[in-house]
Amino acid sequence: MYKLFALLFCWAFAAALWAQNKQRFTISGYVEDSETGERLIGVNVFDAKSGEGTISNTYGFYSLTLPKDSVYLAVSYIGMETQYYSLWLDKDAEMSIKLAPSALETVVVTAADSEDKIEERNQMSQINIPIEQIKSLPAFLGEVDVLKVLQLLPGVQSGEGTSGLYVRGGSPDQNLILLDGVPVYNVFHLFGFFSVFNADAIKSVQLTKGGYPARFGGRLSSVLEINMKEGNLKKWAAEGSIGLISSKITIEAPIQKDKTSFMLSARRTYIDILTQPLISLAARASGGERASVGYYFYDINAKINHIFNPKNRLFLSFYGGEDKFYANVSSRFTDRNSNITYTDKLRSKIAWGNITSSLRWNRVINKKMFANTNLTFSRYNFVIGVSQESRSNSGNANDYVFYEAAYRSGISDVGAKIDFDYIINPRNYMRFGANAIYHTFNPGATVVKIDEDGLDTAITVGNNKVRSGEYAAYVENDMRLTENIGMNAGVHVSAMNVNGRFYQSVQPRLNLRYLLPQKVAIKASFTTMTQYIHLLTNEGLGLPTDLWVPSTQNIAPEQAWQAALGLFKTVNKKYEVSIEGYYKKMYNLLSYKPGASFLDSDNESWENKVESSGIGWSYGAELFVQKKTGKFTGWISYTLAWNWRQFANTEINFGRPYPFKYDRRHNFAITGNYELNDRISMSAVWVYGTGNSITLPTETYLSPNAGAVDAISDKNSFRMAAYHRLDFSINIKKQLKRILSTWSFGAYNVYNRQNPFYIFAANNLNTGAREFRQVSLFPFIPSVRWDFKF
Amino acid sequence: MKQLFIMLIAASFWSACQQVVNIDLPPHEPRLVLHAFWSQGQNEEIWAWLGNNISVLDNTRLDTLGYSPMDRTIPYEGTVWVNNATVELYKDANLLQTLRVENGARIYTGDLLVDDLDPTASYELRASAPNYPSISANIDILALPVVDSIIFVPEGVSSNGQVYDLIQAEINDPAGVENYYMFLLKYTPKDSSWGTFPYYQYLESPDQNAEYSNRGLILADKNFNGSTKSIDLWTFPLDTFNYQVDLEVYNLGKAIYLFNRSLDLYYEAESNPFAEPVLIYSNVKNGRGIASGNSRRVFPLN
Repeated sequence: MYKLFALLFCWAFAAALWAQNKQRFTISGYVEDSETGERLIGVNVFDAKSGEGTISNTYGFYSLTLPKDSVYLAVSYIGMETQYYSLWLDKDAEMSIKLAPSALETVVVTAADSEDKIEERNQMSQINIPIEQIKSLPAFLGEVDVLKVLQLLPGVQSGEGTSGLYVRGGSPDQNLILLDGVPVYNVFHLFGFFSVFNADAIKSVQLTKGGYPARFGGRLSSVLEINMKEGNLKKWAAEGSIGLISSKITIEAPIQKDKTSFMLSARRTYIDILTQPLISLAARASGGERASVGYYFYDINAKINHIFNPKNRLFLSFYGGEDKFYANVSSRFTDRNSNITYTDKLRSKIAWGNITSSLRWNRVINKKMFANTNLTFSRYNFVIGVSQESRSNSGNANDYVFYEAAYRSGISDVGAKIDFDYIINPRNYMRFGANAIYHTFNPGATVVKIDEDGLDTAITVGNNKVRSGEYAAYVENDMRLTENIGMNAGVHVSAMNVNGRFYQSVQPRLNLRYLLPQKVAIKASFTTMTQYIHLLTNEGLGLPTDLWVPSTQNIAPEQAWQAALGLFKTVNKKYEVSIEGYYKKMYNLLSYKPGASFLDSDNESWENKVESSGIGWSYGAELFVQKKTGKFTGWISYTLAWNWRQFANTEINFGRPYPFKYDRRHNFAITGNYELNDRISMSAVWVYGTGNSITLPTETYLSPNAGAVDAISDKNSFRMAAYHRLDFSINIKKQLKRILSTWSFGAYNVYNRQNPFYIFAANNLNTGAREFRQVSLFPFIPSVRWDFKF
Repeated sequence: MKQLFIMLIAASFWSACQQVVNIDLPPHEPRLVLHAFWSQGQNEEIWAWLGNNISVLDNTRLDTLGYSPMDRTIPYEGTVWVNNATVELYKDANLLQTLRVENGARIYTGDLLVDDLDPTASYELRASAPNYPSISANIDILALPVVDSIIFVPEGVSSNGQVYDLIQAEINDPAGVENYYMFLLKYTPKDSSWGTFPYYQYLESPDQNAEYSNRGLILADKNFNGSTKSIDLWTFPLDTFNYQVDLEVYNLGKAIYLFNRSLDLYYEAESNPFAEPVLIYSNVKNGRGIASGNSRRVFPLN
């Protein structure tokens, strides 16, 4: 396999070099939004005369090498007016291209004939959703959620009330989620009901489900790239919203026009603030205590970018977010006989949050080569704690007593990476680079502090921190071998050392494209992936308690291979249509042993709580029809899928194969947004999915020790009822003097479907009869949100 | 802290609503439930308890019976005891004995003593009853554990610096048999002022392969199969003045080990909504429950 792959790669590369024996010159530069100065990703730069073209990279840089000749450039991008340039090319040229937003309303995106078409891209299994399209769809409680929109795509499974992505049979930890190139470890707020990504701060979203280019690595199932806005280089701008549960604001502005800009975005929920007066009143009425109980989450996104000169640019970006449940009670009592005052404070909290930051340097090395150097930091922390503090003014030694117990877990990364784009010619786009990450894992430890009678002690019980290094290097080339044949081939090499153990992996990646008559592309891919870090999670709950742990002496890295085949076509210049089939096999999967969870009271090492010999296999077919342009935008997605797990020779289902929780046979979603006129737009989403598999008891018998056993036959052998719901929203815009005001009225679960969240067996309190009870989370929920932009 | 966390999670689901749903359960298949654990070294006759399963939607509340089906002294009048079965013990595929059940008794018994069974032979329990599929289970007869020595060191110092009473046991493990050793420290009051029933004291071991179950400290022989193994056991200082203290060493077969382990996990997971579901192990073909042998030796420490 490896020899064949190397041969293909060399042949293609040699053929491409041979093809450029004619005198050629290069046009290069950046493509940006003329109104904001924001660099544009994936802009199509196309020479109509030669038929050659290129795409701007993640940082807006493009390079197009053409024969000495007259050139007729068309530069097109969704939502922007296409620009045309006519020039005589007899020397290398640097050309900064500025695209203006389409004259039509911003949400109505337009496309040009020359736009990058799905059948002309070598990459398969990759979906871009314009952020405006994401924001236009109905949102749960009015809170726009990028991950919830991604759940509507083919090959992505999800559940009620969770933002987790289950991509082509993988689990959420197998998704590499990059925010400005930095991995984000926990993407959930409120146990998965919302994601941490504030749509107002986001510039682009791209999901890769298979056929992974060699530049990506470290996870088995998907790569989700989210890029934050850079900050308006031209003028002050602000947008925000006030919703039922949260409000947010985003400000961007130049610090020095066309040179330095910033973007700052913040979001916070206010359930705790609104309910606090009631809680305080209730607490005082019931016993004179002071109490505060609540929950909130917040996100802060910030970015500064500075242009030193046309060749050098620096970005500093930051994300910080936290969820916190808290319950604090304090009381005060004065003994009238002794005149001694006693105060007592009880505090408890559950908090979790991420911090990510990156310092990125873009450097145009020459007309064909671009470098991105990135220093990254990412940290995820979870803490659950309770403390009690008692004071008195008795003058005794035990006037002050303090107890605290806190369980902490988390992971932090410090990383460095360098990526090069070498655009050899329009038919060869080479990328290569390397990265290193230093992980520090804290797989759960409880700290008990006692300060009593002047004795101050602290005891730590649990797992020790584990440190490890993860390294990777890659090279890939995106090639157009002939007019009809294209290929993206590469190799990703990675390694990890942890506690003296060294793992390494060579992962070939291949995407092939052949353009059939009628401009239908047939694409095939084969990729292998290795994942050195694991998430210990109780299936599918998306709890913040989920633990990130490294591969160890006993726990090998997870590995997978995936093969995919598909047909792709753009129909009537408006509709992208794709049909893909895939098969994925995964090895060394982890799962908690039966009965185990993070909440076990014993002090057992996490390694003893898991089985790591799991294999998984998933296969299926996906249909995707997307319309990104025009007054009506939206998509239809359908997935037919199977998804299995097996932990042979273990107690997990006694070694037998079983369906994964998110083994959903059918998944269907239809989304649509229609611009009624300049002021009013309407959108709707309808989703349908086969019910999740679930483990249920079927019989009861007496165990030898006097208890009854509700026995289950096989893991996940039952299905919950099918999941479906309809969401609807209407957006009404009004241009005030300086503010674009938008009122969004929405309804989640319009026909009040009681979708199953989980099911359990219980006795009816009135009749005593045994029955199954289904818990449903969200009934019909209306929402209203006011957006502003100026 | 665990309760606090669960309470907060529950509170977060304040908006959740419940409804009774019909699950498309397969038709209930009546099955016999067999429990038979035969212990060598205790001078007991062979026995078996035979019951039946009921549908999970059956309203019979088994968990309120309050006593064990293994308790032979209490007549059982529930609906899950099968007393019209034919229960037979086969040795090397030949019928050895038919077990009987007396009127009002809850246990099928035979004349043979467990101690008389041959650990090298192959035994199988078969049972059949009207309206149930016949069941069978191989039953391992385990030889008494070979304990070369037991050394008791009062007020020894453990490797973590704590003062414990230290018990050092040396086991000689037979080759080629996958078995498990279980250690229990039994306290029997010497007079009634200290109670009338024996109880079991907590045991701990620095051995990394030691496993703690609800029944006792367990050591699998996978790391020392066929060789001699020495294990340190720590306990709180023994009250040998008021109690008779005995170290019980069991030799367990794989089947009973897996069954007990799954049962322990099941009950632990019952109170933890985040725990993975637990399947109860069974080695009974076409039925439920467990048939297994074990053996026990008792070593007085005072």
